[in-house]
Amino acid sequence: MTLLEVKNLKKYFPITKGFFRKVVGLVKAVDGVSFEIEEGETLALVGESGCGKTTTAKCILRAIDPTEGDIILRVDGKEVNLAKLQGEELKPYRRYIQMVFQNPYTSLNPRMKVKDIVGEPLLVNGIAKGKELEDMVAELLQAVGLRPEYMVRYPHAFSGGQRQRIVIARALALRPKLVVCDEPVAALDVSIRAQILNLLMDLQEQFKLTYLFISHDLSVVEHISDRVAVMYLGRIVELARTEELFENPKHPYTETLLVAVPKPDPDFREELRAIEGEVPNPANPPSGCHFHLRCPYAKKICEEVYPEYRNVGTGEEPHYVACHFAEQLTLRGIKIS
Amino acid sequence: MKVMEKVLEIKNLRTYFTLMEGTVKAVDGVSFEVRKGEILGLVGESGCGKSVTAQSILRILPENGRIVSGEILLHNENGVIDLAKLELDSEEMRQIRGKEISMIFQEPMASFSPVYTVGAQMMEAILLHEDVSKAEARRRVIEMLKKVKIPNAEKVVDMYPFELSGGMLQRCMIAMAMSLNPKVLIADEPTTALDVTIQAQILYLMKELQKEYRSSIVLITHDMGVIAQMADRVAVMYLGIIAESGDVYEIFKNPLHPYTRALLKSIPKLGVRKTRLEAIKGVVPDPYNFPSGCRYHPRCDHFMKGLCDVKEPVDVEVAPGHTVKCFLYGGERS
Ligand SMILES: Nc1ncnc2c1ncn2[C@@H]1O[C@H](COP(=O)(O)OP(=O)(O)OP(=O)(O)O)[C@@H](O)[C@H]1O
Ligand SMILES: Nc1ncnc2c1ncn2[C@@H]1O[C@H](COP(=O)(O)OP(=O)(O)OP(=O)(O)O)[C@@H](O)[C@H]1O
Ligand code: SF4
Ligand SMILES: [Mg+2]
Ligand SMILES: [Mg+2]
Repeated sequence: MTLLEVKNLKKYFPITKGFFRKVVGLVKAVDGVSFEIEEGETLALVGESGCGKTTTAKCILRAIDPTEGDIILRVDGKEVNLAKLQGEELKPYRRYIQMVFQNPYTSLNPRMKVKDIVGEPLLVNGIAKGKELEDMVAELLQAVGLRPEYMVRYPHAFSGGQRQRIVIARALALRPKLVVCDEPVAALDVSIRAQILNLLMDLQEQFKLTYLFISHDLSVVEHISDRVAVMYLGRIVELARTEELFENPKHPYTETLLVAVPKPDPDFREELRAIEGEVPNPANPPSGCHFHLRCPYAKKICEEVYPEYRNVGTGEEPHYVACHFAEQLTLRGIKIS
Repeated sequence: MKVMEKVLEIKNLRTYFTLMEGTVKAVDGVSFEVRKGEILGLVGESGCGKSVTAQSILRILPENGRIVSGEILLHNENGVIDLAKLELDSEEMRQIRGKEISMIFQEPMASFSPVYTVGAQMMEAILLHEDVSKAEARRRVIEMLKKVKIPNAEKVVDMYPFELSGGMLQRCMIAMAMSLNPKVLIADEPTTALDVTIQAQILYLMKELQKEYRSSIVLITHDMGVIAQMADRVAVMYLGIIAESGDVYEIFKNPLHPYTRALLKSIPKLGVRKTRLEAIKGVVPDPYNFPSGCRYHPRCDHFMKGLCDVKEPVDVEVAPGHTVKCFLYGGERS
């Protein structure tokens, strides 16, 4: 069953200048993004800095107003378009979608005890108080692998990995359907990352969670996600099942990303090679295919026409891609064992 | 095995910080050597002492930090100089910084002053060390900018840092660091702040330049992938010490220290899909209070009670050039 359907989502930020903040341009941070998330799956959103991952997430969480498009949530047999709701109207649906941020050092209030941090959503929503609240907090802490006794402590007494566990416990308090994880392990010590990734996978099973998992780290994404969407300058350029996307990439940008990942194996040393260009300014994207200036396969048409985003796979194995030559090119993927 | 010429030798370096809360033994007995024309990878997690090691070598430690003991031997034409014994701001140390040993940092934006053009700052570095005219310095700067593949070098030389992207600035930083053809380049997380495609470009560039100039690089990173792609030899740090060091193939194909093994197993690898990762247990210890004995013992799967928590293992050379600090391989002699 489809839990969330995002259709033609757009978010434009005005670029203003001078004292009167005259609008001189637009950053098309998200520019026509569509995808669905099935209940219980993990969809990853990958791409380099500034491609619009966090903005997409913020629209879904309705932390910001989308410029255009639909965000359809299906819960309890009902269907609501979050993009069309405002203020108070959104309140009953907020509990279904929660977020885990990148930085566990800044996302916890240092003056609140763990008990209050994790219990706050339950208290505010009138779900529990007093002893019952404490029991629920204890249960949540246990679920994320922390001792219930820790609830009387303040965040500073915890390591980065433990703080991220607290953040996760809080996000789970209201039993959400969808958890948006925005780079949840990027700020953690390398030796702690695996613990948190394992925890996220365990919790998914235990609480039947659906994840939108945002990351720029392809090895993490490959590990945790069922399907992957690759973004470039505010648009999805490729979307497929994880194995399919990694083994059989259809977009030259995806191939570039896969080549660029430094593999932790000295046998792959020759792979390090020059990659063309930089990510263009999103306020002034190139004509035609946004990737054409960096693409090793670009032809004349790529400078002129934005390629249609279409399914080049089958009904059973859909593979969406926006490249003029997706059907012709044989790109280098990574064999998955 | 041919013996390669040493350019830098660190012997039993200890650098401590004094704080209200206690003493942080940021670097606590580190030894390694850097050979001519090689890339030495210094890898380890946040807080293990990589940057403090670099700052100690260049003698640019923050005020509350001091080198407590050890030697930092620079080998050059005039023989061997112990940098640990030089005055911080002596003429000799100033000449060494930039000319003999130079450094690039993680945040290119923070390494350049915002109020001068990139070219002016690069020229200043050349003029400080060499007796050349301004016109000649400018010509050299433009030449270096071209070397690091900056498009429109003639224009970029007059631009301010904020006008350039992070990747371009990091190229300028590398150009500046290489402009005096130093013996040793210390690169502290040079690509951590960059996107993966830009990281690949910068790493490729560093490798090309290193081959051309035959300089030595100490590459500091927490990323095992970057190490595997770049380093000839590797030193793995954990809480102020070097747990294991050796040839890059030895470290990746035949890791011996339980920490190195666990670290390599815990990172997700492209192309290997497993349902669960093998996580390292426990937390990274508090820097004021390192565990007794072997500092990895509370997290180690091979912990031997009465030994690992009591005595500190010493370096054992298990194969030529491959050294491990762990009782599983001896490490008891002291
Ligand atoms: N509030 C804002 N006002 C103006 N521009 C914005 C705002 N928020 C984001 N942007 C711009 O929108 C684009 C997309 O930003 P976003 O944060 O969504 O990227 P991202 O993919 O999450 O990147 P990162 O990997 O760096 O987190 C960027 O160019 C960014 O500068
Ligand atoms: N100025 C300082 N005052 C006090 N302690 C310091 C100072 N600088 C570093 N330290 C401490 O020294 C230890 C080593 O720090 P260092 O910066 O060398 O780590 P690192 O390995 O470079 O980590 P990272 O990967 O995060 O850059 C840490 O415990 C750190 O908190
Ligand atoms: S010395 Fe002991 S505790 Fe330390 S790494 Fe070796 S086995 Fe583990
Ligand atoms: Mg983001
Ligand atoms: Mg550092």
